[in-house]
Amino acid sequence: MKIPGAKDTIDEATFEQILEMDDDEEEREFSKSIVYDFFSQAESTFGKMDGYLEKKDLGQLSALGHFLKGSSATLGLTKVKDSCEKIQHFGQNKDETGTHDEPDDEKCLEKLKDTIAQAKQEFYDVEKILKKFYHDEA
Amino acid sequence: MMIPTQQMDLVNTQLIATQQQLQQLQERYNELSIHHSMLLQEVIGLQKTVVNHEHVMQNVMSFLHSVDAQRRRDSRIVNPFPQGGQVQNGNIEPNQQGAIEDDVPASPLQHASKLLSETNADVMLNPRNLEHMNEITMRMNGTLTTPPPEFLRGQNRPSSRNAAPQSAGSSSSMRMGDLDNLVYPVGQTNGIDPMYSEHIHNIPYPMPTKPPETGDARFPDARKKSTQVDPGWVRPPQILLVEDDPTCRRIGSKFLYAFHCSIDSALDGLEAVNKMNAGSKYDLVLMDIIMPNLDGVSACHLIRQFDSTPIIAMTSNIRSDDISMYFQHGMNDVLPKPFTKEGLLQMLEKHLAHLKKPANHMDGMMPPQPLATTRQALKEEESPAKSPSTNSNWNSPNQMPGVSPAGSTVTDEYMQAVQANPGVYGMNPMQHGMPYNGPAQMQMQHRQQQQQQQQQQQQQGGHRRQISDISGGDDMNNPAKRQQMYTGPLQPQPMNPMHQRPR
Repeated sequence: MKIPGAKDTIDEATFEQILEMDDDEEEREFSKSIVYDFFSQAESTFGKMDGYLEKKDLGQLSALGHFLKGSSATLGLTKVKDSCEKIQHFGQNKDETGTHDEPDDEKCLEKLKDTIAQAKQEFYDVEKILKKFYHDEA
Repeated sequence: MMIPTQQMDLVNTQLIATQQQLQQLQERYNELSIHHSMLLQEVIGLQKTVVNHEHVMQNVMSFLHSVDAQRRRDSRIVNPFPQGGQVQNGNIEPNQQGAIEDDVPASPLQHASKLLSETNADVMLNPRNLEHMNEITMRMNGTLTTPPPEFLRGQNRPSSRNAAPQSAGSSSSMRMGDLDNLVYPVGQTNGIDPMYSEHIHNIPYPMPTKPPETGDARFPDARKKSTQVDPGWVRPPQILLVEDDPTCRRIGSKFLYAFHCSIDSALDGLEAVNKMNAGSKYDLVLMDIIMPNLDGVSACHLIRQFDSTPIIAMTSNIRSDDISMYFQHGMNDVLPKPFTKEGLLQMLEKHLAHLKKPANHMDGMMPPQPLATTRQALKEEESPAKSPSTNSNWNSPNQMPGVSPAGSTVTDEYMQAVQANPGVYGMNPMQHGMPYNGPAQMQMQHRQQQQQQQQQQQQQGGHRRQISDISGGDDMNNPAKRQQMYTGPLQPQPMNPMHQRPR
């Protein structure tokens, strides 16, 4: 594993095919900018999620979950992706696998609250690992 | 060996025509297979509806039964023996008849439930077959040929070789190789290579006029060597990437750029539709499904109203009903997310095969032909070769190594098909309007014309030979061979298949 401490949180092959696109293995200009853009994208998405949690807008929460799922999957951030998928499902009044209906909005909101918190934590964990990888521990 | 320019020109035009026809055939094939999968979807949907209706009917029946039983009980209590009086009008009411005899349900009800059990849709319709067929079609279409990323990484983009378009390509190239052998006995490089990339300009394909709008303005030299994957395009394919997520968009663009594509991007379906509606031409559209403003499926549906550029759905929603919906709205393929470089390249190679240079990993399209083979063909060609033994060599699959490298199984199948249907084989050059190459029903005329043909051949000598002369003409001069060639088609074949059917 090229990235120390990334076991379980980052899918190696997916992330490596992005690293391969870097022209310079020291600078890592391309992958770094992608990853850092993702950081800000995730921050703002979590911010929006908090807002829609207040408003109890399940549909918007599901859409945001799907949105963040796409980019985290593309980067190979497995844990964040899985949580985002759950957010997407709960927002659709489904259970966490998306197979069964959960008509109770309040229950879904409760689960959403937990899952979003979990996704945030997973995101901060992986952010720390990646920042370390890009020699930016400040 | 001197080849008159006139003849070269003739052959050249014929080859170009053939190639165009092959291209059209391939397009047609792709179109048909899409239609086929759409129809399959429809039929499966229909079957499901029928089964549902069946269940509804059964529910109705059980309800009617209960109502009927209730009424029978009531009528027995209220009026036990009134039925005798009603027989006199000669018309026994069925339900009352039923009530007399052992309290069975009314006979219309009995009748209906009997009918229902006889025509039980659950039993009669077997959706398995169709679903199986559907799955096969999907796989042929490449929907499922893109394995999940975990699976793909282990290997080096393997499966697309077996996908339908490629195999179609290889079987058609068989003809190409065939022709090549026959027409250019002097060697492959001497003469016009039918797969020479310049011919691509003669193919009626839409040529994008739009200049590349790639975000990365670096020159090709600046690209890093290790990440370079040059699929060998004739020109950079124009790709429209429709994606709302900046991360996916940037990585997708980067991969496409590494594959020597020109990239344009749209942030949502609406922008994509507008771009294409404004006249931008692309070779391929990669379309996210869930996007703000206008989703990918709707965008595809709209684009299909005026444009037929291949559109590939890029999505993580790849349940089979999702996929069938994509196809129903005109999508050509599905690229599961998160996509890999290999998966993306596979898609490009599959849908942009017409933009590839012939020599570059195109084992399907262009069989490498050893010079020795053409030499051999040359020998057979040069000698008058009227003896049966040489003639039989000509059509025997084992004696034609020149066509085998494109895949031995395909070759064998093809050659077997040729031998099984000599009429078809003789028909092949018909596309050039040769009169003696009519369909099987014209066999009688065929013979007469063929005699004329023999005379012509004697007059012309070997000088102005045409493809069909070379492929079939010699054989036709041999009575024994001719016997073998025409006995089959002369039988009333159109009738046979009907009779042979079990029902």
